[in-house]
Amino acid sequence: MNENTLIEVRDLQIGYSGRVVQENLNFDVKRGEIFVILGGSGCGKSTLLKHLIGLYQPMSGDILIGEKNMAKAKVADKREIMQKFGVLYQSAALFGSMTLAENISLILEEFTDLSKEEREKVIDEKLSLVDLKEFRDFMPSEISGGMKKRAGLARAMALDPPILFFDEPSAGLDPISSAQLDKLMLELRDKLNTTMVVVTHELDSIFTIADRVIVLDAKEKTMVEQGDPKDLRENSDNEWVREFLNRSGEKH
Amino acid sequence: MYEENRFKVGLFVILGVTLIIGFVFFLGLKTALEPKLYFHTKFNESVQGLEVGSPVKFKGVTIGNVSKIMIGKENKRIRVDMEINPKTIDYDPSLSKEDHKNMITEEISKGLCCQLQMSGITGMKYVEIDYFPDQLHTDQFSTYDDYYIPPGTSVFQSTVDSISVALDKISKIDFDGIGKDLQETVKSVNKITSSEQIKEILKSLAETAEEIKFITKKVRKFTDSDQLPNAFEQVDKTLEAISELSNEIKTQVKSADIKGVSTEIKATLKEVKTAGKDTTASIDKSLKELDKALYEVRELAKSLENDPSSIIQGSQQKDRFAN
Amino acid sequence: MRKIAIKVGSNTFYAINKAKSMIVFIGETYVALCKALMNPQKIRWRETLFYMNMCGFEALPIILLICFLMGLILGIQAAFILSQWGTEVFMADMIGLVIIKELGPLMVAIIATGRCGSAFAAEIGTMKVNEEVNALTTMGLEPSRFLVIPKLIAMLITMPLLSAFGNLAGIVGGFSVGFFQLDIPAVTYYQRTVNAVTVMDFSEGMIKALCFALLITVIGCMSGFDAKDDAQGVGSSTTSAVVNGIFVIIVCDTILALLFNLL
Repeated sequence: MNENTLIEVRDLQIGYSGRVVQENLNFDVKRGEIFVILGGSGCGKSTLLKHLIGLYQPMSGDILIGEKNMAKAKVADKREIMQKFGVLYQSAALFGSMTLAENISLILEEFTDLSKEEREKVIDEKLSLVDLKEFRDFMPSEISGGMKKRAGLARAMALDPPILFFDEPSAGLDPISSAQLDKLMLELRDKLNTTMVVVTHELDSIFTIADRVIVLDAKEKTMVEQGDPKDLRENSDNEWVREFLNRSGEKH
Repeated sequence: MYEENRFKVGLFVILGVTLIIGFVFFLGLKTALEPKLYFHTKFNESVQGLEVGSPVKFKGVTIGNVSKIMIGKENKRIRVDMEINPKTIDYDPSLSKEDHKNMITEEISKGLCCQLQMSGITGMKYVEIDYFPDQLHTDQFSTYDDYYIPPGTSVFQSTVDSISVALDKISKIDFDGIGKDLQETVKSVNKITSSEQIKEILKSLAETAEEIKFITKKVRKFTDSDQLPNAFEQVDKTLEAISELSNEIKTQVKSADIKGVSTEIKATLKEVKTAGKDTTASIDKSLKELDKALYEVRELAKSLENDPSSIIQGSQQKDRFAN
Repeated sequence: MRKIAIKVGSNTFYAINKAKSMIVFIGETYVALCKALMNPQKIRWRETLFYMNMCGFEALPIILLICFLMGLILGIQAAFILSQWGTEVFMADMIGLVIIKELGPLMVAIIATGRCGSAFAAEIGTMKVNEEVNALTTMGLEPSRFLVIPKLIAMLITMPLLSAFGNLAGIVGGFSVGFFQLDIPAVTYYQRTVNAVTVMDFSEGMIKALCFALLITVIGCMSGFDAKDDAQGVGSSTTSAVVNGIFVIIVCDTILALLFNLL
């Protein structure tokens, strides 16, 4: 594995209850890049993400994260791999029974030996990164969708993981909030050199943030393109990909 | 969010735990924690209906319960251990164990013992401790802190006992012997009755009696003599004696009372024999009396002949008598 | 006919699978509980307290009321029958035993299934819809430890306590019939109850309460984890938590009653 490659996917076949959703998936994610998984609705991009983060067991193939193979790991090993990345879920998945600070504190309590003061310091730091410091004692139900996403991002970054996964980060957000989030992602990448894997179909976001994309097709059941989105928009061999990328501003 | 719950949760837990402890305490631990006096007894009879936990009562007052029932080593008697609550028996803890032992020994000498008694109609039993001076016990099994109270036979047991004693006695009766004796008796009675002399006597007696009856009918009309009824009385007595004799034999055989039956039967036999002798004697006597009576009757007849107002009847009677 | 056979067969298969997964879940929960008890500092005590409040303190009024009424009903029925033989005083024995051994824990368990089992299912189901369960997993936290253990500990603590409260309320209910309707003196009633009910009977009730606590939690949480990722899924998981919960509790009660009878 190349030193600059953080995630390596080889001959991955995914699906559930015997039904293949995607197969022959081969791609690398390099250190520090924002990698976007793209595709129409129902092509299985969210499913792919869930396989990448170890929630689903692939049918065959390998997912190498760092040095470890997520696809072949046992439960305890999986948990170890999982500590190398953070995930921002579509719904932010903040724990509804806890304040924002507690949401972050939870992970710190579980995985670090920090004292209470140190934890408070980390919480403040993470929340200020996403500009939510003054909302630390709010319940998730008391803040807006965009704030929730940012809080979720802060929680995902609590342990300073080298990789961040985003499941449709702009889903359910107004364009301005969405743009804010995109800006935040770029800032964080520049500041912390975090590798990000993003699943989205928000074209505005793609062109703003993506260093590289892969495009999944529902009919072919595999990835049909990979590369720089701006480049693919003009020069892709695949007509569907060109059309998809050119529908800028339209939601799919 | 969680802070304000703590008071309520704390209150809830404290109350709940208190309640559980309360339940445990009042439902058993209370009695378990109190000091106990330990007694035991050894029953010969079946303890069917007695269970661990059955009450132990003193003259009807519950003073404790049965703690253990087991079959004892010696004699396979049923050892019943009892726990007595000292509060119920005016217990003086200042006295030494030895004093208590002496006290209990003294009570036992007054007849203190354990009895099984039925509680209600369910068949359940309890141990009743009371004084039964007629059932004195001397056996001693008391240990240092486990006092022995001897068992008394329960009401059921004594009932059952007396029935079995009766059955036992009945089974010991020598019916064969009785039968033999009876046969002998009958034989000897037969001998007496079948002897020729007696037969004749009886025959003549019967004839005489008939005649006498006949005569008396007539005689009563005239009678002012005192001797005649006397003679009749004698005959009646004889007959009675014979029937009494047979009755006595009958009752002797019937009565199942019991001890020394055979000797009694022998006595009866003797009685019958002597009675037989008596009878012969009394018959002899009667005949003599009868002779006398006849003589007198003759004299009477003579005087009647002389009586002119009854010549015809008198002469007819005189003819009969003459034959 | 064929269809019926197939239906019966598949339902049986489903039920067996369900029972199997329940046993697996109980096993996992047990392992998680042991682990948690080995490192008590890892237990989410605040959640535990929260659930103790929710399942314990807040359930207290309804439990007191229902158990009181159960005692009352039992008392009225017992008074009717027992007075025919003039044995009203045995009412105390009967109510004491029935409430403490059987009805107290059972009623509490049924109420707790309705209150807590359903709440657990709904909570976990909603968390599943909100991807919170996934989030826990990818954070490297076992959902069973994180979500089930606090509930389980809370239930294991509160159920015996609630049963004790329920027992008291039930006996008071029976007593009020005995005292006001049958004129049984309070001391007599107390003495008879204390004589009739032993510590063994009481601990039998407490053991039952503990078993019920485990079952309610496990079935509630399992229904939640089994929920489909939508609002309807949460609703049906709640229903199944209550229905299965009550069913399993009564089955368990039967087994325990037979078992204690043997002892």
